[in-house]
Amino acid sequence: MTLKDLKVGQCCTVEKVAAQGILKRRFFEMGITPGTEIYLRKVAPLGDPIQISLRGYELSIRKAEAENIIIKNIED
Amino acid sequence: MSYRIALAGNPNSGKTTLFNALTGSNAHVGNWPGVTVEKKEGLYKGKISKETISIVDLPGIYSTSPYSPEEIIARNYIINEKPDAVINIVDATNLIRNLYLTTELIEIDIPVVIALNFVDVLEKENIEFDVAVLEKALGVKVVPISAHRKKGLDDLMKAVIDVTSKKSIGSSILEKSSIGNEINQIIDILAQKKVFSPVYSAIKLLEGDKPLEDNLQLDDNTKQFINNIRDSLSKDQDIEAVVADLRYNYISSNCQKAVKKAKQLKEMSKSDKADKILTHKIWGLPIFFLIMFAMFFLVFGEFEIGNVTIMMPGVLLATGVEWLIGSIGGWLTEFLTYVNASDWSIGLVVDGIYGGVGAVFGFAPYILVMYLLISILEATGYMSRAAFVMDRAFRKFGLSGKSFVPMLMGFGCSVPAVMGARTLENENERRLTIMVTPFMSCGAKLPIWLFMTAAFFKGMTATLVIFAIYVLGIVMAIITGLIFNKFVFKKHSSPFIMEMPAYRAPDIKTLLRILLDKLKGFAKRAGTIILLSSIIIWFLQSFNFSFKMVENPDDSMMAAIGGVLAYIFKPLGFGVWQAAFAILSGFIAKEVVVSTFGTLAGVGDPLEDEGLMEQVKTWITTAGIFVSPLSAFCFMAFNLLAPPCLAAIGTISQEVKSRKWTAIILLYQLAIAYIVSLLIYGIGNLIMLIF
Repeated sequence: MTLKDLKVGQCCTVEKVAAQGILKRRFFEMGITPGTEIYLRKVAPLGDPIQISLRGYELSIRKAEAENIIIKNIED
Repeated sequence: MSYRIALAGNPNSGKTTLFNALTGSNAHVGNWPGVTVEKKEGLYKGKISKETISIVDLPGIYSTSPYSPEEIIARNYIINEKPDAVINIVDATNLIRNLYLTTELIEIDIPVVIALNFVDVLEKENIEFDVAVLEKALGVKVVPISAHRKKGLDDLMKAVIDVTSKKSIGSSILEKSSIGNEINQIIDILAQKKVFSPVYSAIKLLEGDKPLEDNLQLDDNTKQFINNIRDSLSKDQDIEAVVADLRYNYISSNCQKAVKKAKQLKEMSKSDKADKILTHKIWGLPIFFLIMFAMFFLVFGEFEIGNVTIMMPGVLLATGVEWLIGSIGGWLTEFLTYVNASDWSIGLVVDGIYGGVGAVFGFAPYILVMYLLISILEATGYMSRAAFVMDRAFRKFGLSGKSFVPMLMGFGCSVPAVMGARTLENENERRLTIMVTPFMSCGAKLPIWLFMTAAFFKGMTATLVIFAIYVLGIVMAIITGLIFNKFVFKKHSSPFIMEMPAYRAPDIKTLLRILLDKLKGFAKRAGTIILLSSIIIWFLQSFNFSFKMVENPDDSMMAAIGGVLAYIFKPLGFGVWQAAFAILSGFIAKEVVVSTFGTLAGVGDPLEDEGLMEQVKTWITTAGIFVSPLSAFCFMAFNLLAPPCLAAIGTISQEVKSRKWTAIILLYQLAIAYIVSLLIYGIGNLIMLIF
């Protein structure tokens, strides 16, 4: 499962970042590393991008990017 | 002794506010050589030290990895220029993410002092923080400050001056980690080679940082040694992931304790509560449009209650400035007449120089008020929300959610709109936004539509024609996006990873400083490019080729030039020199198009007098300039899509900072104006032939 499939209000843990190059680097420096807990706070009115909460702050990413984040331990 | 201190930190950490608080009004703003990133440098104005201390504001970055122009500049500055110390500003309310950059900065052999910002916000929410925990975990001095309240700044600078004299050896939190052994091996060999900052370089080399490797010019043996270590480590793991993970883990377990209560995952902060409404699934969009409308209304709004006209700040100021420009123009003429100046010199000074420059200055209030409001939206953090809400819609034609605001502003005036495109980080999206923004019919083009429709269309049709012009601009912007995204920019799709910063009250002094900078820039442009072109245009329309002043503009150089250009416009339905002349003059300022018709009709400026307007309308419908209402509409379409006024063209070239791209943008606009007008004229005539 990837972060794209997470539902609003659910939490998950990052298992793997399946991106390459600059995108991978961006994820890492923004704190999306394996083991990070992520909470899906909301989806934009038109359905994309999404807003996630992690490491005490809020981040917005497009679903196309979220697809590169493999997740586990999904809970409501 | 004089010191140079670099200021580094995450975007939204209060860096600009701190920089302004430390340097006051003596900062120089320019650009880093060869790139579009702003460079700010200023002298420390405080009284802590007798030495001259200059502070360089590095671009806001999340790490020192060599990818974005900002990161490259910030890193190269620290590594190559070797400032005497680095102030690392850290947002105390977003400690973990902010300290990621810190863990990299302390690896460099340059003293670091942490300025822990927004401690007043923590205090307000009764959250305790412990500076000693941070100092112990990171091994550097930490000074709590509040940049916008100017608290703790003296302590900060004392600490900075204190460390500048000390030699600093970089240290890394990774040295004692699971890959510490390997890191230390590389550090040792780099230290032997007398490389600058062996600790920082070792970790970056381990991560596979190519630019740094090239920069260090290591011998093949050393390279091989490092490669072997890297290969053995990366057999069953991704080193970049490991390094990032170790940094974050260290911060979480050693630094998080500094703040007694960190925000939990599902917990709602005040900002989240505000966002619950502002970016709501259903209300998010209407609220966004309402805010945009309100912004627009504050700049361009004016309405009547009874017989009293209520003007919003933008219009009010513009009216005042217009009155001032008009009065000064009047006095100027009187004065020149009084001192018996010759006719041609009065013409040059009043119509040429003063008229041209004054017309452009008349727009300054709109631009400044608009810019102020946008800066407020930016400073409060709403801009990220607007981008969040609109991104999906704009993505469809190659733009980003952040493109919406500049394009909306384009309906007011292209100058601030083009500047507003600065918020876009992606170069291609920025160029595309700048390219299509002038298609939005700006306020100065409205007089053209009003004049032309009054002369050539009746009643409801006139309203529909104006509406069609506005829609045409939007449609062409969308088509342009689709074209460029499909054929030009196809290889570059940048990720959209955007922080949603906490909502904050804007800092008034920073806002005022932004306004002052804008005003200066505006005055500079008006004084150079616009001044020069005003003189040239006046000269062309007042003299003939034997440099004799002409009574009738038909005999002027401009008429001759317009006559040549007229052939080009023939297929569009307005192949006469007057129309070509009007289009050319429109490049100075769009409202000049109508004034030009007035001059050509020989009655004066129709914008100033209703009765004159009737005369000019009669003239234009009988002079055979436009053979049909269709050709009049094509003239409007051409003016809409052709490159904007000089002020906007100047802004475009200033913002894209590339001659090639300025040329591409202007040529594209010219081509689109021509092709679209040609199509409208051709298809329109065909339809009329059939029916």
